Amino acid sequence: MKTILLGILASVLLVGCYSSDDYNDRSVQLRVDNAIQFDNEEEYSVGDTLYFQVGFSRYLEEDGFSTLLDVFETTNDEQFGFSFQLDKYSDFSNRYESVFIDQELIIGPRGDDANFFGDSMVVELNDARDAYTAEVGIVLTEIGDFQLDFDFLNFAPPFGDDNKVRVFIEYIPATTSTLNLEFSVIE
Amino acid sequence: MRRSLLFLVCFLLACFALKAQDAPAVSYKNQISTNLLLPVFSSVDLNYERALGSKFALGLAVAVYGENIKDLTVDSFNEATLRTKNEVMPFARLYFNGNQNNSHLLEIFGSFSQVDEDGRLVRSVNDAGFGVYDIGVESYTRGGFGIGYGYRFLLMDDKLVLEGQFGLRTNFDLNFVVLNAALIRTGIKIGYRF
Repeated sequence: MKTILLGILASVLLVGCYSSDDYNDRSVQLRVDNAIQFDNEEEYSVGDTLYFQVGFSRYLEEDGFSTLLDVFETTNDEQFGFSFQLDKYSDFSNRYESVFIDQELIIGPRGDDANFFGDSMVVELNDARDAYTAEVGIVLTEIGDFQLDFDFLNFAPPFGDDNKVRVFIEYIPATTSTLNLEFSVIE
Repeated sequence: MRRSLLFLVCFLLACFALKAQDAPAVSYKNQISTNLLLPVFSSVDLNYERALGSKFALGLAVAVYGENIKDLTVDSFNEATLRTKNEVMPFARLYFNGNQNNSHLLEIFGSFSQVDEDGRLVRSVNDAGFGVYDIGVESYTRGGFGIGYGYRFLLMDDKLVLEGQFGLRTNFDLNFVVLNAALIRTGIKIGYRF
């Protein structure tokens, strides 16, 4: 009888090891693969301003569902924060290295510190209210070979109420993307 | 309500004390019973069991739970609140002293329960045909498994049943590394054998 009892208890505990954890955090994770538009001139001069557009549709595909998700009606958020990197090629390391850009050299809409991490750029719901967009400019101040780096581009909702639905959007470029992010800056 | 239950339990125990020493030779195969504790929590259940052989029994229980039953469960996690509305439980029992005698009993049972989970993301489609999430109530059915231990008294020529039972049911949800648990099939049951 002891063996039976121990067997039952062990079975319950072991089954628990294979059970999923029902973590319920009221957030929705989405992916977009075409969040960047960059009309790359490939060669710029010091003093030029490079522009690119960031954004995504208000209506996004969601894994497992046939209907697009209305991001704005779900969240009521008119802004999503994001950040990006600029890399410069280094002959020392023989690879691109991240460089810090003075915020004064970046042109574009910014989130306020109360709702987003410091120095976050934001995409905003456009006038047609069908997409979140931002145009970002970088004033080029030094020569070299550079690339825009969107490897960790995520769109995050504003800080705030735990009792509302929050949508997080990750940018993963399509494997067929031909977006060229490399450019040179000359004197 | 609690005072009435206490009176009833005392009455039945008194009956048991007066019961003749010699048990009748009649054996009963069927039993229906209900848990006296559940009405305290605005809930009710009904159990039927059929004796098999000399020590075993199989049965089926149906329970309908009210709002207050959540006092007996630890089934809430994070912001969500679970409320079990009703439950069907097939069970099997082993009576250590035989199923025609006063006896300790060990029980295992399955569980199929209908649950309302409040505070959960619920996706719907708006008039324009787009999906929208809200925080609301989602209803679903979930399975579970439980074990119980108790003691059954047979009274009034073995026709009347009084039993105390402690039961725990899990739905295999994990709170960190511990399985969730609820005090299901726990209480004092009164029943009739035929």
